[in-house]
Amino acid sequence: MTSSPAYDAWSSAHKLTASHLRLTYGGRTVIEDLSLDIPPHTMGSIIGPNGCGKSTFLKAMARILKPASGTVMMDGEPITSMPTRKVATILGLLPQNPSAPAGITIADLVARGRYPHHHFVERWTTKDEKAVERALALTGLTDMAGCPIDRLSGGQRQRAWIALTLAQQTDILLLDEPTTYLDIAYQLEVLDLLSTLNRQEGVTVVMVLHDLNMAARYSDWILAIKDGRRFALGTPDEVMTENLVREVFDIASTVVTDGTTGAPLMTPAPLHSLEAHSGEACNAHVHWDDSAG
Amino acid sequence: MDACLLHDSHRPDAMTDLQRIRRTHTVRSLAVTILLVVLLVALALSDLVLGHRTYSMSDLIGALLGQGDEGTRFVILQLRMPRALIGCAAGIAFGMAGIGFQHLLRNMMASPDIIGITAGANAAAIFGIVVLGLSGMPLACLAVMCGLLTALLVMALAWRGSFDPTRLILIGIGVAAGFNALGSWLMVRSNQWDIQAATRWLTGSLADAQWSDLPILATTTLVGAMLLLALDRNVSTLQLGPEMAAGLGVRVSRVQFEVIIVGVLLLAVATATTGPISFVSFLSGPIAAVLVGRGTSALIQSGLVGGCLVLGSDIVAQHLPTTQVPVGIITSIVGGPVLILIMVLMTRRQEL
Repeated sequence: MTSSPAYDAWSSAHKLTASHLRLTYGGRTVIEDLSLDIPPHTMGSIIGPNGCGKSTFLKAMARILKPASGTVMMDGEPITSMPTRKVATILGLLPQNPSAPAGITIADLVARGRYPHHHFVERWTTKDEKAVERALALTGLTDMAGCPIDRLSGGQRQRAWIALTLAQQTDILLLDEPTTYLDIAYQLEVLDLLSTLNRQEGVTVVMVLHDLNMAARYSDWILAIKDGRRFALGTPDEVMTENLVREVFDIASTVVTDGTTGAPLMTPAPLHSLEAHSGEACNAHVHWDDSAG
Repeated sequence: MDACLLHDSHRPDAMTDLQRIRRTHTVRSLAVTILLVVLLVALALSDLVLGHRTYSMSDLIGALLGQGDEGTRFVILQLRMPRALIGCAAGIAFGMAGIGFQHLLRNMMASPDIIGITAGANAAAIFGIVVLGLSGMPLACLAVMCGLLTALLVMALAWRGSFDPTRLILIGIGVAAGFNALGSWLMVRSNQWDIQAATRWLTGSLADAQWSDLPILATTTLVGAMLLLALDRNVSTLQLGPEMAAGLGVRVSRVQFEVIIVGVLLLAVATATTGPISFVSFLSGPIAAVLVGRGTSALIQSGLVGGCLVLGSDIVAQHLPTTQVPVGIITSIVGGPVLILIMVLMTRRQEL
């Protein structure tokens, strides 16, 4: 596991740890027994098939889902016994489907990230202003601060939500599928931004990702979950193997090393049903193209 | 997107832009607040001088200072003043309770008169009049209690670890239908005299407003307004969705519960005083939101809009050419079409 040399003051970093979590959702056990020590200042991904409990696990780490058993600890203290507002100054969460009030501007939305830093009737301070300004600058939204959120593209909107969590100024950032619904260019934009935050600002980033290749490319560590349990945990090279893809996702694949990034790159093999017809389908396609041309 | 760019040629630093955006918001919401206060005062004064007999401003000032003839003093101070003040306070209570619910549940349809709370209080009031023969304070208490119980019933039925706004609204509409049916059934079975009393109560009227009603209503409105203001920042954060809000440190269930209880109390006490003045709690929020700009909290402004709606409608109701009608009729005539308009707009934007 790598860490940025600028941020090796590990002693001062906040440590988030989950030990033996059992999580239930609507009476059904989603996570059986899962532990994770999040190394500070790293960027990590949680992967696994649909319904394996990865989002549920992330919610429990963010203390918005109470574990049936086991504890999540922040710096050695159970997170559920800490004041929730204090936790919110250390740990930020970007859930899958946040909702923006209609017509709200980027500036207003991002400013709401300052919530945990305010008490009962505290006024807006220069510190708040600076935090919002910085969040906007980091996400490249400064020039659009007055723009209503519903006029933004998918990638810009996601950047605005990330800016909100940045204005929260937390050391740890948990993101639930931050790239879902985004096209490849926006996916890269969002993940590059998170990577920059991690390397330059030392923010600990943990995200749930569906795209294995993106996970491998951007992560220091990957946690693979299968059937509510930890299947593998390690560096992308250790975790992303043909064996793991077969065991966890039930598909055959080839894993090679990406020439440009050096990260493992997974190419799924066609499923049997596709394989049988693929030649025919391909020919038909070419033929159609010919006649059209 | 170009329209969103603040300055193209000379880029000022972010600081200036942010401050400018914030100042624009503050100035606009302050201007709207001042305008609404002026309008509310103007309406209240009109309500005092206009009527069967129209007085001049000097008559009014004279009566307020304890001068002038006894008749004028009686009409202004004993008949019209309580009416104007109660209309004002009830309107503010309706308006703030309404936007409290609408913001909390992130849906303009989620106002208390849509989700069954008013219907519950009404059914109880009819029961009180028709079966128990109540009137005055005991009747008001019964209506308040049953409004609260209905809110708890709707919440309990909709609760699944947290409130899903859509589920709560649909369950509320169902509960409202049930209570309305119960109310109608009680009315059909009651005698002529009771029907009149119940109908008068149900339409919402300021005609019976008395000084003695004011202290409880004014105190509740003031305390409720302050509690809602204190909760406003939590509610604003909750609008980002329950998970995002929890991540930011909002105690979601607790805030939801508190806003609902305060909202129901405001609404129930106002309803017990004036009867359910239809649609005020539903209309005030959207009107205030349009005035201050969307995405900004409009709690105070919504209360003021509520007060203006009630007083304005009351003035219209008293001066129709043919006959005086209860204020609730006027607000219904305005409210019905607006409800349809909002539903059409929301369906079009797929927000419902």
